[in-house]
Amino acid sequence: MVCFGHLLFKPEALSWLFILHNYMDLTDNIVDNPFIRPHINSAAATYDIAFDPEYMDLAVATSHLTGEKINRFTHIQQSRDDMVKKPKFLRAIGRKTGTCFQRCVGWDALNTVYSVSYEIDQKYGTDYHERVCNYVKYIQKNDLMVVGGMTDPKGDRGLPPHKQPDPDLFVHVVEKKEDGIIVRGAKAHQTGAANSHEILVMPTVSLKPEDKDYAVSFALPLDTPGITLIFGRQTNDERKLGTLDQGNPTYGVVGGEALVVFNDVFVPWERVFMLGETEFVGMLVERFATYHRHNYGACKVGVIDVLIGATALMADYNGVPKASHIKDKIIEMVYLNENMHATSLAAGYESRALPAGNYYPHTMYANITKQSITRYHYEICRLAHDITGGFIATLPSEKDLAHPVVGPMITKYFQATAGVPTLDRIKIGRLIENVTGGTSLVESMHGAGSPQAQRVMILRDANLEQLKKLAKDIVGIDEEE
Amino acid sequence: MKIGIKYCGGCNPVIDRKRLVKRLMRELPDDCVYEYFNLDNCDIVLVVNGCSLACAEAPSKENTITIAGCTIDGWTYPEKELADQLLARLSTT
Ligand SMILES: Cc1cc2nc3c(=O)[nH]c(=O)nc-3n(C[C@H](O)[C@H](O)[C@H](O)COP(=O)(O)OP(=O)(O)OC[C@H]3O[C@@H](n4cnc5c(N)ncnc54)[C@H](O)[C@@H]3O)c2cc1C
Repeated sequence: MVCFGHLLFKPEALSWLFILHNYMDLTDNIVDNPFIRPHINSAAATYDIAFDPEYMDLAVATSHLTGEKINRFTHIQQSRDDMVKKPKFLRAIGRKTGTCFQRCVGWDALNTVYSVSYEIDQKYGTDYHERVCNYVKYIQKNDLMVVGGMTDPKGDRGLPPHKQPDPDLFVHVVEKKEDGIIVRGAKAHQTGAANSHEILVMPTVSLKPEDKDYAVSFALPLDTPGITLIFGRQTNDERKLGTLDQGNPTYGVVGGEALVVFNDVFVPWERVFMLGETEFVGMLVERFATYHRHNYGACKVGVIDVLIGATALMADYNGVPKASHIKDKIIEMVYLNENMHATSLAAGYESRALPAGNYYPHTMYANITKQSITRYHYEICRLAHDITGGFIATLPSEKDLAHPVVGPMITKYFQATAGVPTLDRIKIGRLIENVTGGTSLVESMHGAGSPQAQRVMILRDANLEQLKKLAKDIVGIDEEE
Repeated sequence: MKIGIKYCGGCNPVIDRKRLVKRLMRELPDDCVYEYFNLDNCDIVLVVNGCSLACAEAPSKENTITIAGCTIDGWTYPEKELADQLLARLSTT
């Protein structure tokens, strides 16, 4: 099946993790695999933070289902306070990791299916909501990390699932059995999949009745027989075999995404949360998208806090911190970043309760937040590149730096302001390169939906008819009765 | 003396909360005990907020000192003076 690459067998289950790099010197120990380890460290930060008194006020919540203290990443939000704490919490972690910490997608998936299952039950008398509640309790009790599995490979984007030449390009049910269902298909770009416990699968586009088999939501452990994870490549990922050149050697970059393939996988009934209710799929997709777009003015803002700090340090190192255009560019970076956080907070302050009782962000502000990151992150990175200088594109490797002959030359000729060790300047330069690189920018562009998806929502919520009326009223154009 | 410590969540602190508390711990008498969780029976509670928004809720108004960014109970000090100010207050508790 895979002609090159390294195959890691998870012995506790018949599932497989493929890492498609044929030149890697790998161990068979997944945890210490250099391509995966930084993502594990980043996810671990979401656990550590809940035990750190300095962050507990944000990181710990109280379960409305059990009354127990839980990690906020497993919480079903119960109030506006929860919805304001969410972006603050995500920002706090982003500032520690300087990259994606992966755990918000599953959190949003839990809140989504919690709400939609309730509404399906109201219409059909099904018991999905009880199943979801039991699942949430299990996740909370064991503090598990869940992948939010929405994006299908989608094939021809112009065609609905049932018209695709290959029927497996959207996850679908292939068989119903007495004790559960069999599913086939794949979920693409799954953040944190290689180091998560569970995946919660949801449909990715609104569906018509002809696509009934594709209207399926379920949750499974990621080492369930029949599931294969194919780990994705990232910009400069060979650098993970070293240290300094990675830029962020402890936490890596983005979330260690994988293609998750379901090859006729069995799902027991108690883990099925939607099956065939096509009219609820649009609602589900919108709910998940809105929950998730809310986050981008938080986790990314924390990461950009790190970038702004690094860029300001580089201005110091280069001896230009007082130059007016440098100060102005740093002001612009802060201005854009805080704009995104402000709209994310606004989405939380203007959140509302859904019929199931859990809280849901303001859709306009959540979509504006995500739309902004698709633009401002690029602009912020442009400013960071401007201030940093060209050396982040031309720096020799860490191996050269350690070389007895060229190492001292690098140290000499990459020095800047007196008193700043060249190594510090290189470290900060590499960090800036990492945070502003290709994989990181694409995450801001497409994660939680491509820009056009937000613009559709912005137009829908723009209240244009009322706005037209405002203009008419002011100039005295009568409304037709 | 039993000293309760309640931090805000630390989303964007303007002061280094941990360093401040560490300095207090270093300079307060060795027999002081610190409590992060059950703040009910403390002689005094320090509510350590990273900024002036002061998100952390004090368990009660009594026996509480609220640090909010560069302020202590509403009075502003340079960050490097916060620890001395707090030590002076704690010495009279
Ligand atoms: C780093 C990263 C992490 C991610 N993590 C997750 C995750 O954890 N879970 C998850 O479920 N998903 C995840 N995603 C997936 C993300 O939600 C998708 O990338 C996004 O929805 C876009 O889908 P796509 O990549 O298939 O791009 P496409 O859908 O192919 O979009 C490409 C372009 O085509 C346009 N387009 C697409 N369809 C149409 C159409 N019908 N009509 C007109 N224009 C169209 C789009 O607007 C866009 O401009 C992640 C993505 C990234 C990059």
